[in-house]
Amino acid sequence: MIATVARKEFRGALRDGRVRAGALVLLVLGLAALASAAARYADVSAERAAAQALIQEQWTAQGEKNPHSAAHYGIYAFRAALPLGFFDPGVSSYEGVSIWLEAHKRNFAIGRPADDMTALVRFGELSLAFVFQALVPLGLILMAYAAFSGEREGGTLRQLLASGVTPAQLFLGKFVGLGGAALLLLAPLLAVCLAALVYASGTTWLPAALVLLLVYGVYGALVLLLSLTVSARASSSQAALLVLLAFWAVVTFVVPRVAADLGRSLEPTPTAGDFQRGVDADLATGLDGESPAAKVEKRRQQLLKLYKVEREQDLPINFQGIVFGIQDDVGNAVYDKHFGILERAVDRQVDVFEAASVLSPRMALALISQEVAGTSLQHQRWFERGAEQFRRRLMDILNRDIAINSRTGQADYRAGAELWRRTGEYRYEPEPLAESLARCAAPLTVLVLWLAVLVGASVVTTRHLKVLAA
Amino acid sequence: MLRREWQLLRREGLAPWALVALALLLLAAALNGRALLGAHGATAAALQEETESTLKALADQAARGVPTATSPGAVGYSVLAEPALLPRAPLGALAIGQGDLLPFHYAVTARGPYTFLTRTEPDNSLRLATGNFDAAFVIVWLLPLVVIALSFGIVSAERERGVLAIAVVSGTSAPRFVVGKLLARAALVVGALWVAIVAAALVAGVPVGRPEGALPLLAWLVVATLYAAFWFALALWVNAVPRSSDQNASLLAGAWLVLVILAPALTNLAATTVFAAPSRVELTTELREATEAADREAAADRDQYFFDHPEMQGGEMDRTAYFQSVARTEASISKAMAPLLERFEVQALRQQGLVEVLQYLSPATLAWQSLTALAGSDGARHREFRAQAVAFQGGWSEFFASRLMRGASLGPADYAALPRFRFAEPATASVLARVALPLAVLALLVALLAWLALRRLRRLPVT
Repeated sequence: MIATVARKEFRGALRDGRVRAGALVLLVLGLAALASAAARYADVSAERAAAQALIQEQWTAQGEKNPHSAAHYGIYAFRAALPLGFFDPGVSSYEGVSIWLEAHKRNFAIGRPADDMTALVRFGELSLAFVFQALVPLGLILMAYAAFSGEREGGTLRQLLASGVTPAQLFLGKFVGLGGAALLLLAPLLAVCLAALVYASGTTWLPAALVLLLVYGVYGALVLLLSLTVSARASSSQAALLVLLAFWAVVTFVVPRVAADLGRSLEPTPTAGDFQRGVDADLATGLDGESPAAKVEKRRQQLLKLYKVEREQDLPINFQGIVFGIQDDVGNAVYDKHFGILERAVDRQVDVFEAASVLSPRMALALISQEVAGTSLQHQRWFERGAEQFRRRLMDILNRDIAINSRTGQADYRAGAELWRRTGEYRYEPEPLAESLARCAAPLTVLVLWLAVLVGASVVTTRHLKVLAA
Repeated sequence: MLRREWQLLRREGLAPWALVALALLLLAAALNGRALLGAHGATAAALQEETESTLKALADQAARGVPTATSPGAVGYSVLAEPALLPRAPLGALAIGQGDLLPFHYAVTARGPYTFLTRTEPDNSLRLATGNFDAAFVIVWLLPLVVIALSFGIVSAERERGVLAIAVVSGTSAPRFVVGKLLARAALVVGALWVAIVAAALVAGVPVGRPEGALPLLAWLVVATLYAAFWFALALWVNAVPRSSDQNASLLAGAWLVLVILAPALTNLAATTVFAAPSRVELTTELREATEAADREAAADRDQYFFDHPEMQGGEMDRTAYFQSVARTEASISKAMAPLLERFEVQALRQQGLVEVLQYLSPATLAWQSLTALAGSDGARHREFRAQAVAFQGGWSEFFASRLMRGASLGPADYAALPRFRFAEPATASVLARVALPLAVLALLVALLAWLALRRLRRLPVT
């Protein structure tokens, strides 16, 4: 019985000119989004790889220098573009792509692409993720809003039920039929996307893509369930359509903005000025109450005692290298603290956003999608932390070289290409999928909750299905 | 007619809620905008205060002859920064636009503009990517939905219920009846809109008593009214063909999707693809090369110095010579970077130019561009700010460099004569002039659509 209903709905949907036209529009928009993203991905990947190589070359070819001069010269870390970023750019337009790794300082990532776009970018970017998060659900709503109300208004619902179909079978049949039709209509776009992904990056990102497919599938199912339930309960098709459109607009566009701005009002982000003042104050005094100068003095006394000498100049090492090391330890702890403050403020804003996703499953979907695509805020932090780790290791190597290979007061010490090669090469490695997924527990729970509530609502609705139009 | 429509709408239950929701959303959005700019204001005030106290301390020290305060090199190149502040625009809190993305203050030093043009404020990128909830958003995105909800069945529902036929039988012509209904509803929406926008402006701290606040606000009312009128006219046009109410609703929702969501996104995509911004990544490597080249020149400076002063060999350069070398290094980096940074400005102008053409594709883009232009958050005001900051930096740098090069030292009189940055606000008239053509086109579009709708309506069967 279910299969019969499903077949009928499936054929009906595919025969409907409006559905076919809608699917065509989605296909064209999706392909446009894919084409522009793919072109940008190719450009950006090539450019960042080239820049990273060039920076490395400049570093190795910087000539003979004191290692501390080289430390001030520093190196740049670039964030490589990830292939699934073409599907969901996430927050990447609003995050810097390069970080200057220099002595004593942890810098912010700079070069946000959105800074160089027109103000219209704030309307939202046309991406494949947008097509699937906003437009496909609209299509599903338009396909399904009259599924029950229309039959009721036309009097066919009564005939159907009289012919022995139970309301539950009818509901399930319509769900399967309409869902199948939607999948079939979207199949070409999905296939092109997957092909583009495999072409660009082999099979490395296929598991992530399949996770995305699954999550978007769940969201689609959720929207379809909601549309059918509303259609079954509404007094008329018109009422069903209005309710569903209002829901779609609010959930897709209004709640996310309100939640994001509410988060900022509740937990303001510290300004760059606040950040700098905090860093400067802590650098001067030290975090544990012991000033960096006192730490240096303590170490000096220890070393003089250890080597049984009276003066720094008689040490078998360059004490300046040790001083740089101590300063960096203090500096690193201070930057950890203040980046921590900044990150926690943003985290609390994101918490508000996440909490509001209970009202808008689209937000939960967007959060999961960015995490899996590697374009979330946390992925940016992963990049920033990786770069910072590299910076610390680099500074450590340079400071040690000064300490070990020169003597205190030896101003003319120079190191060369051998050392610059020994410092290694910065390379951006994306975060493993499992770790990204681990962060999706909350939004996944929200999606599952919505699904559970809607399944419950549809069961209740089919039990008390209104057969006659009001 | 107005009262009758209001009663009818109240019975439907939808209108009062929709109007109240619209008004509340506008107020909430204005509050939100004010909160954002309030934070900016506090930062700006703190920066200004800090600078004043630094200046005062330096002037005092200079009077006492403290070397760090009398050395133009030390002060200009490492101690003092003048905050170039972009004050909030009168209507800024109503349309945030790029206002939370682009910096509203630059720390100008004697070093080149490249040092401040590339800096950004740390922020929550998830929020930035989600978009702002401001009054412009409520008007451009949500107002059409309210209009659609109130008018998608203006003819079809009456026909479905047979009211249209009754009205015609009782002596009114069908177009007259429908237009009367529509105008009554439009009057309600526009009336509510005006009250809400003015209230939002008051909440947002717009100086409504002064021309620079009142005139753009009046223009805002015109934009919002024309934009609402466009959607009413579109609803009438869609209704003027015999179709069911839910078909009309689907069609209007589709139009909203295309005009409000897709057209602006595609316009941005077109502008940023056709006139792609130069690469920031390349800028990074270019800056590095310029710095390296300047450093090599500085090394030559140093060698020359020790050649001229053999007695100093093995020691350090004296303060003046050192900062003269720094000044030359900075000047040469700035000179190398200026054309590179200029490319970004040029390309941004081209993007803006394309957007100003493509905006006519959608009334939503048109309304958005006009609202943000009037609020000073469409990027043009920021470009002006950047240009003024860069020009100011030239004078600021010259102030220190000229004294440094002739070996003069700074006294309290020099501190009193320091140039100070003050943003010269573009004239209100020029801002209004920018939206004149878009508004005229929008008005024309409304008139055209209304005329087409009326022509269609006359041929509409009443049952």
